[in-house]
Amino acid sequence: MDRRVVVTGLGAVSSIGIGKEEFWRNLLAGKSGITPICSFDTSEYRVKIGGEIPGFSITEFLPEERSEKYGRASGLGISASLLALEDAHLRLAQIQQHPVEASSGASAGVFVGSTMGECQEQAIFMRGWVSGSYQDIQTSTILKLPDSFLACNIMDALKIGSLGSTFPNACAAANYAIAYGYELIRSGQVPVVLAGGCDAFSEVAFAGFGRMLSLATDKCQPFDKNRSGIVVGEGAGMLVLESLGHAEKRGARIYAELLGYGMSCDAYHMTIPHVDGVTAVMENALHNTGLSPEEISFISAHGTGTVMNDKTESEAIRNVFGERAQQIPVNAVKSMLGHTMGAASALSAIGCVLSIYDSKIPPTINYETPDEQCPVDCVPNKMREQPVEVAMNNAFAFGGNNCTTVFAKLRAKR
Amino acid sequence: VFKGDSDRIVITGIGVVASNGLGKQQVWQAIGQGRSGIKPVSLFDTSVFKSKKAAEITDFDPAQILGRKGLRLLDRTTKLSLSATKYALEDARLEIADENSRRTGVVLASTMGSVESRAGFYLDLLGEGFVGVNPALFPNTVVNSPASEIGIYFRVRGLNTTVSNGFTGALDALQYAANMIRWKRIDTALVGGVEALNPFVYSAFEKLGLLSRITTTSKEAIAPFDRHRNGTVLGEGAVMFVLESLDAATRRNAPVYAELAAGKTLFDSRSYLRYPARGTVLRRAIEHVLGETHLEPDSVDFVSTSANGVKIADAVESRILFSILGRPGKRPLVTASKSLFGETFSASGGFQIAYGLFGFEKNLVPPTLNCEQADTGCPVECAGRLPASVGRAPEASRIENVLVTSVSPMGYSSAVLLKSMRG
Repeated sequence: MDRRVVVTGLGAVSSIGIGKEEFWRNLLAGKSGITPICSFDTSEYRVKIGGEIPGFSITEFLPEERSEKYGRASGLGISASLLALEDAHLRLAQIQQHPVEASSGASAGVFVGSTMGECQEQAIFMRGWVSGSYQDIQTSTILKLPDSFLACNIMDALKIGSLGSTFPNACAAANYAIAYGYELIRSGQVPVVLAGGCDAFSEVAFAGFGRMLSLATDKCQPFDKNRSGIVVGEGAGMLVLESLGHAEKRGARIYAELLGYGMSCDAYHMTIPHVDGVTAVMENALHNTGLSPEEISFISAHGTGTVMNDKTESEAIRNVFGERAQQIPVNAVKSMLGHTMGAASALSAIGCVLSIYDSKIPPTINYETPDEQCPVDCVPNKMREQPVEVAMNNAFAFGGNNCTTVFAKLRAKR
Repeated sequence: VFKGDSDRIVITGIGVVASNGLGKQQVWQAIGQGRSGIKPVSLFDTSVFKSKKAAEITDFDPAQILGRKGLRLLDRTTKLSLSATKYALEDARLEIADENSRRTGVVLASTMGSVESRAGFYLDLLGEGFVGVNPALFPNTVVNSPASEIGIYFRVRGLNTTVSNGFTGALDALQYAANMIRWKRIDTALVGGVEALNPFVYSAFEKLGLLSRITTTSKEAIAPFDRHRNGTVLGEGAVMFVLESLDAATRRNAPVYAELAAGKTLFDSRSYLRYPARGTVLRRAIEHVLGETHLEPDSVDFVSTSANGVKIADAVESRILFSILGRPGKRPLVTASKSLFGETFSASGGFQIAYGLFGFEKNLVPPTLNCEQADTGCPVECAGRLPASVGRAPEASRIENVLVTSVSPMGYSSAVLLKSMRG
């Protein structure tokens, strides 16, 4: 059986759309999902905007009696997972946990990345702590708290998955999850994987980035000379990954091939990116996939909109691609979605996969003034129709934890 | 399947920071003497709790281990992690330099690692408002911060992954790291688990009814497989290992503790948020590692279990072990590291592995404390119940194979097989 890894299902829950169609349509249209924050009181804050999904409720996907035990982050992840499976036309029965008598072979894996875990439930817990009503804290609240529950909750809600893990690798977490899913399919440990990330809107992240003076006050402007920071967001993205053999056997629609990934660690600073580590992660991705820099047709940037990130990322792209750097379209979907933390690299991965499948590249919106420190073609403000053969999906996290995934058009031979 | 030396993954270093000792030498001594680190909590006020004890590290002075520089903003979890990593590197006689930095990775298990920092940050926010929070402490709120600080401190550039899987975390991190070495993504891994004690996690464990406390028939202790066991005692600590291929270890003439011969972690939603009544996936995980290593059940010299004194947990684990490894008249020989180190959650798998390494090195089955009146519902032979009570010689002349198992109420169950590298 062919163990090349392909993407056959996409589930997006985002501030610009729930479900693949709406998400993609609005991504191409350059729609912004940034609105005034309503999940907590912002009167004390200088910044008032975020990328929340105000209309989201898990009960639209799972009845209340089955979903009330999950926190918001899990709810986002479960919903994205259901959407991804539906999109893949994969019936749950096909990948449900193996019956007792089966061998130790696993039927499916679920790998999820997150930055802040169940932050909104943790906030409820802490408020109970502060008010001295410790005794009143419900065990049902406690059972929502651990970060490890994100992958577990998806497996529990969908009754799928016998291999699983939660990777809390901050803002690159979903790429870590996708990378490990890739490895387990490639090595024959499991034929189907749900991989991606989820994060709920976090006041701790909002306040933390705010105090670091990393927040934009009105819009996120990656690669723009006047960019002033990130906009905190929330969301979930899940991808169905399958071995090519498994996908072909069931006649699945194949969006793209997942060629592999690269990882690196800056080993430099918790919050300041370093160009060496960022260069290394793209080089490692090229090395692992056996691609030359010339073969990359599109880069989905980490592109947070902070002064440091976009400058460092542009410099690293120049290091890796040399003179060709300015000819490669490099977009930043965070300009529309805000920074969805653990979900960010999953939502951008979905963007990469659809760019390949649909031959269209979403824009970087809010781009007004070129910056000589960011000499990239960021697909400013308007989407582009253009075939994409190979797409690189960058993600860099706190701690210099970097992971880049690489997607390509499925070819008979590569 | 033929396994070349580059596919065989071995442990060449260990670093332990535990409630009963700092560094391998001290901890080995504590294990040899059967000395637990469980004591009355001093880190926070326990008056609101029914339980009062924890396996707390009271004499931990990170500056003594790491030097004073750069520690000011780091939280307890991170300082424990850095210290254990330093010990592990020294123990493995490994230096991270420009030549190997990009081929070395950090893989750390932690689930509650950021809880105290995240809670503290949020408490400051609630109390002092936005201007009152310290931005320099914000990075500590993410769970990957201890692993990242290891990367920064020791200049490890290959990869840096944190795994949050609860009780089985450290065993999962080891499997992840072993896979990454086998698949040639890295050559060497600094891998392990960490959790730090804090009132928030303590309160959560108590609320869930998992903690032992004084009753008319029981003391506050971890009494694995004992009739009167009534819960667990929370602990803290960090265990780090140096993992590399046998090839690489041989090339640099490194001391080898053991081979990480096989491992499997499986999830079952039927045992999610409750202890598994039937232990189905634990059974499958054990059968998988025995199959992978072509071992007969009789070849397992002892099992380093996850028994933590929780009534159903110990019962399920021992029943599954008996059904696979035992036979009429012969109960499998087991031990429970948590009776010494407390329930250290994501780090606990690291202590279980440490028990295995101790076993190989000393050719002793390490002890289980407080198992005084065997529970008939736990059909295992517990090393600590013997007169010596601090470890016993194995039945075979040499300890060759140690099975490490973990059962949890969080859906995951794990089995790892360690093989001696002697001969």
